[in-house]
Amino acid sequence: MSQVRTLTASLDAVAHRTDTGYSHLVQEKEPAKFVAYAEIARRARRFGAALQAAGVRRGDRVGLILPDSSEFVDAIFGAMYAGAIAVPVYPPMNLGQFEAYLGNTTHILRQAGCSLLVTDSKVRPILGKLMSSVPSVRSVEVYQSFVKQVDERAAPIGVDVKPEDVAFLQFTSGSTSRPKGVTLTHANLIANIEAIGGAAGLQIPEEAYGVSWLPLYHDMGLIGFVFTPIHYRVKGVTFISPLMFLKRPSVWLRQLSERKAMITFAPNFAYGLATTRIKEHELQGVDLSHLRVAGCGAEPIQYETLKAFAERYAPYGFKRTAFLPCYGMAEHSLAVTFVGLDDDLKADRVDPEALAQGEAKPAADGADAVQVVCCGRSFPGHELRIADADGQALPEGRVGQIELRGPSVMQGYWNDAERTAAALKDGWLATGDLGYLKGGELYVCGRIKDLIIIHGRNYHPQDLEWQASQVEGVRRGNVIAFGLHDPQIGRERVIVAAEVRSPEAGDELREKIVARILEALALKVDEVVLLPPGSLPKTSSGKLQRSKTAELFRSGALGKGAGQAGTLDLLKHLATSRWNYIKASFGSRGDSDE
Amino acid sequence: MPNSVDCSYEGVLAKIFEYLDENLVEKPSAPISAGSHLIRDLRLDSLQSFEMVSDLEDHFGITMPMELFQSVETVEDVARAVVRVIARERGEA
Repeated sequence: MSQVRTLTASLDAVAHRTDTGYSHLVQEKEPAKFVAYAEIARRARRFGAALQAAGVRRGDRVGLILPDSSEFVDAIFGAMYAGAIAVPVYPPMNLGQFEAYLGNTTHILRQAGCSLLVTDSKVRPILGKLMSSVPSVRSVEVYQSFVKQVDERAAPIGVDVKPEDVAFLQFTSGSTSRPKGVTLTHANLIANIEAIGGAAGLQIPEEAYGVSWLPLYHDMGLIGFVFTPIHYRVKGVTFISPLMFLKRPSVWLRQLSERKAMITFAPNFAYGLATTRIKEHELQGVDLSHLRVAGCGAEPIQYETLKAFAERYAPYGFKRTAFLPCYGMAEHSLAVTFVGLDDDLKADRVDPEALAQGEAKPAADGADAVQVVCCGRSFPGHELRIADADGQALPEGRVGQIELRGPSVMQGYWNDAERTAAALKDGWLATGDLGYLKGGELYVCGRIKDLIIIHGRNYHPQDLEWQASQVEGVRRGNVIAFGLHDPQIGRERVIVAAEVRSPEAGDELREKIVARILEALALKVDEVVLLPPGSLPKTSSGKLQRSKTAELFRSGALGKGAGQAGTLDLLKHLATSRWNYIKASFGSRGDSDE
Repeated sequence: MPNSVDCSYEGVLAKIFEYLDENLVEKPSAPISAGSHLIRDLRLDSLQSFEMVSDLEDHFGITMPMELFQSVETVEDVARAVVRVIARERGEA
């Protein structure tokens, strides 16, 4: 294992295997399609050869919009075989979203400077005149016909993949804001993969079987289930389309049972969905006793959600110790901390007020408390510290920014020296997330960066603000979007506060804002607060203050006197933006004050 | 599927309206019709859209193909797709 230092070498190591490989469940009522590792390697090499034939050279960026998971796997390895840098892009995934999709995709391809884009025949027509808006893109190819340009056994020539080569770029789902391309080398990825699968992680044996419905254009699905299993030469993985999971969550549990799967990962909301939306008759014969790892990451973990899942599925053989809460981020390849393999689900019951002031204090019995789920320890050879606003390490029990250093940390953001410098200092990656240590284990409890995370996906407030600004009647540029954690729904509430010209503007304008953001970003805004001009807090130089807005909203002071029914309604909820005190000491993070 | 279930276009439409009446938290300003756009008028997010399709599958005893999600925009689109799948699953293509 220690000789395999690149992802291409990982695949080469299993390229002779015809009995093990990846299976893809494409239609619910049909069996999954099996593709042996030998076949994946052959197809990947062919794709790499096709890229070379199309003039793609080492270091060139290749965009991949491939909804079919099997084509995606072939193509991402194939790009690496050709020494190119893959840029996976989310395909259109929602009903009626296509008009906005093109804009989002264009921004990513432009930032990456892609010279080629490979997609499938269904997505191709939607991309329209993309080439004219992204000058670097020489052509848009359809995978099936593209690979036919070279022989079935073709392989790239003269490419010697090195660990320090960039393997791929992971882009945030940016639309109007400049999307950030996390740049990861083979060395980064191998280091993280070996942390995930090694002795301090999942201890992945060759008999392991994994099941995943995670999108493959996102780190947890891609690194966790495309690269890691091949590196560990596992028996196999079944990929379920994320859309199929959302439509029919029982497919996930049924596959786990049928395959006697050992490992799966999903964001918190998915466990909630599986608890509430699956009907008893769909669980006939389901046996989850082989599941050793039910990983949970990509968004804040709610203790109650996981507890409810464990209770519902205990009769089906699910063991609560299977839960593996984790913390990670794309800028750190994937995984940062893992809970111990056989540790039980654990949460710290702390006083909310003290936590907001920066201290993790046990809550008194019967008092108001917050359950912070334990996310475990960082990996050998990887450093983690909790730092205050001056970058000084804080002791256990004190809340600060999580900072990371080590072999999994990204090279930077592609072609963005300014934002790279803001994130990386002396090799320490500032995560923008808040947490504390207790007993050497990490408890993630908030975030100072202006990011909204819903269903495991990241959304940038600037993107919501820009979209809302385009709506007739909204005072352009005078919009603030933010998320506030709501324990009642177990996720963040997405709130948009917009100044409007006309005091009569009401529900119709709110609906337009919600519809516009839903269409452009596939994100549902929970609440729109309309305000008279001048309501949003600004700095002395006239810049809008996102954190202050959230705090005003929480205390009910936002737009006082404007008579907003929505505001009063929301005050009944236990929505809190607890970090404004801490945020103030860190100053404004992220792009809010640009 | 049970014989009592109305699998005509009108029957499917009625079922969709029923689902939306029961599940849409915020009633849209315009009345829901076959022409209602799923996102622009009804503001369905992805979870709700899939839940609705799942509900229709359960009610009519069918399985909607994954390609559905790439082509529907309005309530009418969904209803017509459901009718097509019902016909196919009954062998009437």
